[in-house]
Amino acid sequence: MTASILKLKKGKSSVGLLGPNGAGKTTTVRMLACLISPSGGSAKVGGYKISENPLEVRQTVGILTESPSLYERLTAYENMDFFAEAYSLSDPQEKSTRIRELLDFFDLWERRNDKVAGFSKGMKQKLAIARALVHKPPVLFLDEPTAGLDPEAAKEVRDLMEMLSRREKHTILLCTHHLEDAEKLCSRVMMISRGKSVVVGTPDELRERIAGKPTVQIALKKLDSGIIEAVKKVSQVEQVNADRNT
Amino acid sequence: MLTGTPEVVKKIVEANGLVLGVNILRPSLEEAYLKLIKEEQT
Repeated sequence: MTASILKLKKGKSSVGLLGPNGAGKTTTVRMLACLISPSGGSAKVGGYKISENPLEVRQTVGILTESPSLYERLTAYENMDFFAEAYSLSDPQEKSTRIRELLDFFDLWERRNDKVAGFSKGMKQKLAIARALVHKPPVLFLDEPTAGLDPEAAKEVRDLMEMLSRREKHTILLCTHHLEDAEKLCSRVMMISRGKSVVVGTPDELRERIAGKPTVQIALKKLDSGIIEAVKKVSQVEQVNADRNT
Repeated sequence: MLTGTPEVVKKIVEANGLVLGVNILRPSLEEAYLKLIKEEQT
């Protein structure tokens, strides 16, 4: 990774990190979550420097990695409980309330006593996101949350993420190949290639800047020069292309 | 809807044009992404 600058607003902000395989999306997230060390440079997460305050950074972030990494022989509840303990949620009442809240939200409460080994991939993914949220992190890193899911499960996860970003006011960094996810969930998008930030902006800005401005296509019963001249006079119209054959 | 569209349609109607349909063609984020990545690789 070289010279990538990304400043995210606190809360209610979702940024998509887009790029081809090998672009550096996962590496970026792993560095920001203090799972790997950068060879140079600096970054702050939740106000903490990743090089100087890795423990504080880990408490500040929730992360969903490319593989859910759940304990398959434990139940959904036991998985949540284990990670709640790991994040020092020691008050039993607080812990059980939080676990119930998340399992309810992700529609897994009825399956709480089932072993994860018997879960579908979509259910595992939902549980992995719930687990990432157990300590109420202000910052959430989601690395390919809908990868490998069938369209129905992907839509369910996408809808839940959308609700989540509105309800819990997290700052979300979403790595994805699925542009539909980025378009639906992210207020801003950063495209990276070969470890470098290439462009940052809202989805609308990027569409316009890279692929051109939107066009209005109007079908008419007949076309004459008077109509063309009238349209040209509208201030927002930059160009008129008349096609008399269609 | 683009902001100028109602005005354009109004002008066409005032010029005695008969509008059969209006369609907004907006490049998708996917098109933008693919174009950018292609440019980066060349």
